Amino acid sequence: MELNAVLRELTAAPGASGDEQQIRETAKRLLAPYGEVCFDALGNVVCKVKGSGKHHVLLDAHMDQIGLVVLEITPEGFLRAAPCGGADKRVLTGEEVVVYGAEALYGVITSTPPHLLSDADKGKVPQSLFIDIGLPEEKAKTLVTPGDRVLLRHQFREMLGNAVSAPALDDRAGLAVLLYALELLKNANSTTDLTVVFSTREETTEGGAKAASFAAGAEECIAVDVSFAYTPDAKREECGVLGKGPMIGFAPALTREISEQLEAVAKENQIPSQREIMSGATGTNVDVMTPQAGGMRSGLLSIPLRYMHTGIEVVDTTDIENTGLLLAKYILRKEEAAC
Amino acid sequence: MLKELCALNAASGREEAVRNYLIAHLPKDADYFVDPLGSLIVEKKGARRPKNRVMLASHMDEVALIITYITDEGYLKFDPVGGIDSRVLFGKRVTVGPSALPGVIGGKAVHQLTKDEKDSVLEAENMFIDIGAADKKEAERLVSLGDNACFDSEFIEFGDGFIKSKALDDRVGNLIMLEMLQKDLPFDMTFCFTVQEEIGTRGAMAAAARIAPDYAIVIESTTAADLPDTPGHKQVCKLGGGAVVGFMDHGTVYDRALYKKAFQLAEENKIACQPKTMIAGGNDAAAIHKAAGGVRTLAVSVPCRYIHSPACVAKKSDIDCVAALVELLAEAFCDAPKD
Repeated sequence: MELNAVLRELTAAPGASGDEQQIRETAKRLLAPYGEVCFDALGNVVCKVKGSGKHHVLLDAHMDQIGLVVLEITPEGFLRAAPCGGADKRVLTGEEVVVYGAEALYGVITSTPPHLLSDADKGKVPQSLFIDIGLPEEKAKTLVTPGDRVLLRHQFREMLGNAVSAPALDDRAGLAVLLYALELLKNANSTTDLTVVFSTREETTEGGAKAASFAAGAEECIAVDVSFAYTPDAKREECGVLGKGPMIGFAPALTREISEQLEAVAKENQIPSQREIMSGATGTNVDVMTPQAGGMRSGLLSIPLRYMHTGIEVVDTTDIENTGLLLAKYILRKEEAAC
Repeated sequence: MLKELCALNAASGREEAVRNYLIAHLPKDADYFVDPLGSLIVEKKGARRPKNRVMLASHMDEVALIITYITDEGYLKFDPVGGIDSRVLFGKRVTVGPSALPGVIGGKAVHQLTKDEKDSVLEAENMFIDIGAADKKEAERLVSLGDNACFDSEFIEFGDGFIKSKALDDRVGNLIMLEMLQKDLPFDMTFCFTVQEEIGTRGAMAAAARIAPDYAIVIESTTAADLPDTPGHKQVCKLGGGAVVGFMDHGTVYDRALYKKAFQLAEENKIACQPKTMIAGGNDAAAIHKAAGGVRTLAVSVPCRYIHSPACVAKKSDIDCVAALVELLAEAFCDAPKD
């Protein structure tokens, strides 16, 4: 699996929360070699990977991404917009975007020149968002409808070492982990059935994963998402470290035994890993999956990521490989334990 | 050609790339000279000898960043070179140094911010550039203190005849002069491509003293704030409104007769032309009009939204208006009776 090519493809496919039609098609195509793929009522992509049925594990990563949603078209032809998901408003001033209207339209989020700001507004992040698409109102209205989604413009860049930067690595990096694990498991004659869910709407309501896990009937679920990688302005105790391997979640809302097993498997296989400690729920899909259908045991693996919810998210591709490897080894170990 | 010019990186004091491009594209019948500061001075013969020496000027440099320090962890600290609003830096892509290393300007995730931090603009001094370096040593191998970082923002055409790029300020001026140089001119004229405008019009000061023209026309791009959340009296000028001619800015009180002449010629020749309705900004005219015992000076500008940001937006029809008006003005000044 050519990981950078897969990441580039996954991050390029648009999929704002609740508008995942395009990433869904990419996901379906990439999952097809591993099992039967279908879409459910909320648009989740569900892939049933057959083992011999001794265990049934649900694996989830979310395919939606943060974006904006168009509220109205102004008389000047600009689009007034609001965040769709938890966008970092600090990065939006002057940001380049693509508006998914009747066609994909290039746009720039406006920025008022600093010398024209009132003293009260200086130093404040603008709260209203307008998008400049270079069109007069009448033309804009034929192409854009309120509710249309807007994404930060895609640009995939390879940096030093194994660092890559793109928007939507949250959580397309998670999709890449699951694909990487499936590739490793392909010829392993696993005795565990897998339901792999690429879920919708995580960034807004976590609705996709909730619905999909109800239907899956698995005994255990593991979510793969991204988490905070240290940057010099952050607190070390709130962060993992880029390039130091998967962050294994330890939290009251997770099954401690699974967390410990994941860590044991990492050690046995000399896969670097780090603990991520949370004091309650996890802020990921696993929170809504765990109580579904009478309850499931649950675990969480996170890929360290810098600059979350911006257009310049950064991950280290060795972390994606190591997270995929850990997940595959964990699935296979279940079988050994059962024999 | 504008696309090629905008793609070049030329921070103030480091204008070689643009200067070399311009020299390579000069017509055979033009003579050029590079002054000690690096400004490119081009003399071109016209059909007749002028009554007055006329200089056209546009600046080659663009706003950028300069690397001031490399942290132990391999992040780059920087200062802006020229006036850059901190709001448009955060979350943006840059290229660093002569090898154009991809870098990003980011910080801790939005989830880790206090309410106050979420709504406050981060100042440039608290930002850093991440190039993916593992540590200081790796960064130092590829980046030297004093290297520049420039915005990584390509040239894009969009909407109804709009363009977006970094460095439209002032590559549009360079382009207009370069295209004029390809034509047969009515009079001998001097074309001055200046350095260091963004750090205080330093190149123009030296060049104007050397050339000692009777008249000067500065070809610029100027702030347009024709945005939905900006009241009319603060909009300065408008995209699609044609060439912008100001009567006064923070650097210059323009020659009243020349100002009137611009509007008269525009009207006679049906060229769209608009006044600059706010006393703001400044350009090379500030240095030129006071140089060499005094130079009658006018600035003609392309209106530009989000100027000094990675995503400057201008309208092609406005560039055509500026080019047409500048040609008429230059001819009129060459032929004006001596005072």
